[in-house]
Amino acid sequence: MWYNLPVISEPLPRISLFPFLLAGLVIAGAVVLNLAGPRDSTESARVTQLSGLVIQAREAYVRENWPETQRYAGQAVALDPSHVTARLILGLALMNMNYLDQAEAEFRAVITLAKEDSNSLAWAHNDLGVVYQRRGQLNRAEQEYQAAVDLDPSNAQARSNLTAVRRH
Amino acid sequence: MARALERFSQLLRNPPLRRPAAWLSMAAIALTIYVVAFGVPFFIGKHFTVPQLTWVGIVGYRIDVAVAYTLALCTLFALYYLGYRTLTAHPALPLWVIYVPPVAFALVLLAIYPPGGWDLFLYVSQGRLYSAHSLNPFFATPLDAPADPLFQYSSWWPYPSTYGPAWQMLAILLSLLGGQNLWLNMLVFKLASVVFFSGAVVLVYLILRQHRTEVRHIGAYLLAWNPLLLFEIAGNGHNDIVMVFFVLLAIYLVSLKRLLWTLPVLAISALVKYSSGLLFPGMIVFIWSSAKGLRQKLVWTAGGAALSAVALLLFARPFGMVYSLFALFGLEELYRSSPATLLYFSLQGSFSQHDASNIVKIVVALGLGTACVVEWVRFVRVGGPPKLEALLSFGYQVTFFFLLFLPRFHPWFVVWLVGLGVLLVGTEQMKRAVLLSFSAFLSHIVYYFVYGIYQDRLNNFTFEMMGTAVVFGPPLIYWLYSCIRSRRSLLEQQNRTIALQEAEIARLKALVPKHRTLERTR
Repeated sequence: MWYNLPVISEPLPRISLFPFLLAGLVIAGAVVLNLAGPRDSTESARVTQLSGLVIQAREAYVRENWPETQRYAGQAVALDPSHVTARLILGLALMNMNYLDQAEAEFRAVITLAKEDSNSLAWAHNDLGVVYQRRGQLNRAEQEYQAAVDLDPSNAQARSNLTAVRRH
Repeated sequence: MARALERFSQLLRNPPLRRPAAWLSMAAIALTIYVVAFGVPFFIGKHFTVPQLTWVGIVGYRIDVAVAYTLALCTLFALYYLGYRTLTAHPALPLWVIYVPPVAFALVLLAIYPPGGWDLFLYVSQGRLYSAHSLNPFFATPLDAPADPLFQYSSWWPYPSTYGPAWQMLAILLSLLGGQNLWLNMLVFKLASVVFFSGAVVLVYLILRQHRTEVRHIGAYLLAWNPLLLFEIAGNGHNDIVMVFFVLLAIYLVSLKRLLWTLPVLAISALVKYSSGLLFPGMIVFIWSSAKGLRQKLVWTAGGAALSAVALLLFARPFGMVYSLFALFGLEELYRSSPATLLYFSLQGSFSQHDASNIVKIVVALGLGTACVVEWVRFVRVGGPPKLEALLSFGYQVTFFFLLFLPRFHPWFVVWLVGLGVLLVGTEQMKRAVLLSFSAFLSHIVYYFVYGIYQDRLNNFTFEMMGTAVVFGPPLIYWLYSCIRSRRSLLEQQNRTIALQEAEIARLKALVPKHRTLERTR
């Protein structure tokens, strides 16, 4: 019958080499990259330092250590004033330390900087909403939460803030 | 009704696919579903210019589409199950009808925009961070190279790599091949996943050929035809299969008795994704008890450990050893589709977010730790010469518990479990893994369609409860059912043995007086 023609004969002779060949390729690639070494440059060193500061700021934020968060995020912003994440974290630290005016300035800066990054933009609007809510400006807070939800409907925090502010 | 059920169960016991033509018809139906449900709507040529599209974003927020996809996934799994039953009943099918159709399925899925997550673009971005921008992906994030033409397709922008250095190394090499071309990068990364998938299928075949030769094609079939694996690996390009490939290679080396090389290969797998590190305790015990004499024990374990250290040095050195292991500890609290998520949400009413998260972390660590220790003790207490089945069972159980306790569950994590489960062909564990792959696939419907359509009417807890129940409900219920059934059959077997023993005693008792009578007569 036609379907019996291309039966693969067993035992499959060289198939057992395939996994070893694949693993060998991965190891060979690693050896080549080790020999080539990382291409370092001043710019890469600056970015590495910047990223390190942002990571440390984020860790301090998770620990709710606001002064430390402000210090690391502040250093990161000084290195690169256009770093959106650093400015967002700095704004959050300032907000939690009750420096609401400075926090508002950071979130506004993020809104100007992160024009194409809807995720960060949504967070900036949400956090700005929190600043307004703390000041008792509920209408402006609602507007900001709404803007955040419009930008990123999957942002559960903004949705929950919007519902809460509407209940007031 | 009873007759219909009887007919249905007879059909399952003896499916009408033993002729290659019938089998090919089944494959053709599956291929049609892959083409209609995924190939046409998500065709890469149609969507690749738009970044960050989702499944539901492409096909629309419609309940009828959700129902159609649910039916499609159920049909794919029903055909997969039918194929398994056929191979169990009639193992003499020509081999090409088993191994060629998955190649066709993979080709269809290679040509789609990844609808179930953008991790593929993250891999490309993280690879390019090093290859194009000379940045360390364990420290820098895609946000540090916003001018990169592929940046906007990426996800998880503000985070450094959470993968292992071996994966990062591979991603760099692949991104060098892909260059600045999005098409080429996607193809290269997806193709690499499919090549490792093929390698994993070959390894399952080879391991079973050594160990349970009669089911070697069934095991390979179960891996190669699994719809979730095909979708997540060929469709979404997830890298989990690379980790599974190295785990299977380590097991193959065990089956070949090349035990010195087992630990370093397992180490490479853990350097792709750290979760396979859970298999180390079982593997070390296996190697230790397999060796004859103290010298061999020391050579295999210490030699294996030294070679593992060489592997770590080889893969982690270019990134800075400490930074490349940062991912292990630098993760933030992320919760999704898991019992831990439900606990986290339940605690939020009484505790602050930070405290709730800490409590969940402690519960998860205690639960997973206890489960792993119990499995390890069970494995150690098996006794006798070390058996591969016991090692596989240990690895499977530990992985299952890891998935169960993981705070953030994703459907593609099931690849880890199925990779081990298919080596235990015919057991309850294999069936549980397949069932979990089905329920995890269905969770895509919950997280894309149900969430997308009803997000305003459902709160986060209800939604997560639904997701968790869909993912873990069926395999846990099946596990419970199997435990009860095996306990009952054990009791029945014991009762049968007792009844046989009693009958034997009665027979002997009946013989004794005759014997005595004979003696008296004498």
